[in-house]
Amino acid sequence: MPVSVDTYEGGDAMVAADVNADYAAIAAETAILDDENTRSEWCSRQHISQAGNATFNLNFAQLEDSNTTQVVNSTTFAQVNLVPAFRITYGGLVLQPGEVLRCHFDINAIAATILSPAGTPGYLANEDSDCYQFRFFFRNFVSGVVAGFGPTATYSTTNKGTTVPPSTGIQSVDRIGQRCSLHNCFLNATAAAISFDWIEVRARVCDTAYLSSVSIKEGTFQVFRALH
Amino acid sequence: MPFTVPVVFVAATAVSATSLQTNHTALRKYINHGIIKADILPVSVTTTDIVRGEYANVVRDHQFTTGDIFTQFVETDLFSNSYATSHFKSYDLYSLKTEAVPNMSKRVIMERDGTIFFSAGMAAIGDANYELTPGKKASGVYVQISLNDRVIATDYIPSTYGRAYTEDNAGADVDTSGNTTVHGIYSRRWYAQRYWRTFNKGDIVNIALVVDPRSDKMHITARNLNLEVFYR
Repeated sequence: MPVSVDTYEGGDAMVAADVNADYAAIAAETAILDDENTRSEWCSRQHISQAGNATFNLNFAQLEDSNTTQVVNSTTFAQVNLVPAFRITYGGLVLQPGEVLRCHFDINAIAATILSPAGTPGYLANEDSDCYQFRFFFRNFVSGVVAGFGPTATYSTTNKGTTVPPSTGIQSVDRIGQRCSLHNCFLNATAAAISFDWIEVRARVCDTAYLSSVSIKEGTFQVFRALH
Repeated sequence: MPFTVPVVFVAATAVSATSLQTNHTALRKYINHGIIKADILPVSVTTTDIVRGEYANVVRDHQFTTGDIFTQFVETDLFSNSYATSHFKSYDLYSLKTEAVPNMSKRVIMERDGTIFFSAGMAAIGDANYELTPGKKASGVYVQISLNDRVIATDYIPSTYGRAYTEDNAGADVDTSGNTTVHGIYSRRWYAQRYWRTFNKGDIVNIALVVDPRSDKMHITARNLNLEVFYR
């Protein structure tokens, strides 16, 4: 808060008590200096302690692959493993309330195997029967619970045919070569810290009766923590 | 600059009210908005000294989720295209040689050790009419990182490979994109990639999206680029 002092004028008698009061006020109020006492954005990078890790963003981790192909052929979410497996292991990374993990992956889906009624327009058993999906999962280091988080990135393998307009109907050709990605900020909005054992990317196909497999290749997986 | 006292009183000399007031006024001005960066001891501030973003109950926002944003390029003109050509490798079309995509590359000189986080996306489509050889095919898109002023052939990062297809002729899936419909529309793929790498102080870093064109001419549109730098 602004510091106040008495005002003196020429000819006033000096009163020790008044002068002492001024300095006492200064001493008291400079102990609680706040944004009214400082200029905006006074705190620059040079003022910030850089001891140890980066102050605001920590624990950068990245995995990448360039050669290995993985065939995804299960309707159960399974770990993406392009050698290396897309799992970043922390063994107890603590995410305090309000802190964020920024998670990203980018992966190519290079081929798909579509079963009946492949090649002929028809209708899917479910609206996502032609789809494959990706999602982030993590293991709680304390409880051991494994859970998915964030949205499920879903990609369709069907394409618009020459005779069938866009619909839930399976099309005559599949859509391949799609680069798939997902970016998620995992925010600890709880009141307690969360301890991460690991984070990984998992993939699945939605309906093996229609889409028996998807081949994935060439990917990157990145996670880092951001303080609030 | 630090506070300086305008009037220094002398021992055994009467203190005038005016002089005392001058000192007080100067002190008041200094404390009330007179403090500048240089008055704060360097490396004295930790995260607890900085106002944090409201993360709960009010607005779930974060002040320091990102690093320093170093340049951002967003193409908002839907009809704006850039072009790439395979002419520079006309005798070796199928080789993997790259060229930078316009407005999708940045140079950063690292002031300290740190990490650069690169987020980019674009749509690149090979034009069917000018395919040197029909079906050759999917042009590769990569992130490329080069140091200093030398760009070498192996600077592209294989794991960031994405496919930009040619525009097929109807009835023939010449580029294996899955499209056998009317040419032009359905072979398009959005390429998005995030990547980071750690660099040292003084590094001159050139980060770019590059394309390995497999058709005679291709166009690139809807470009988006972010660069974040996290100094350590």
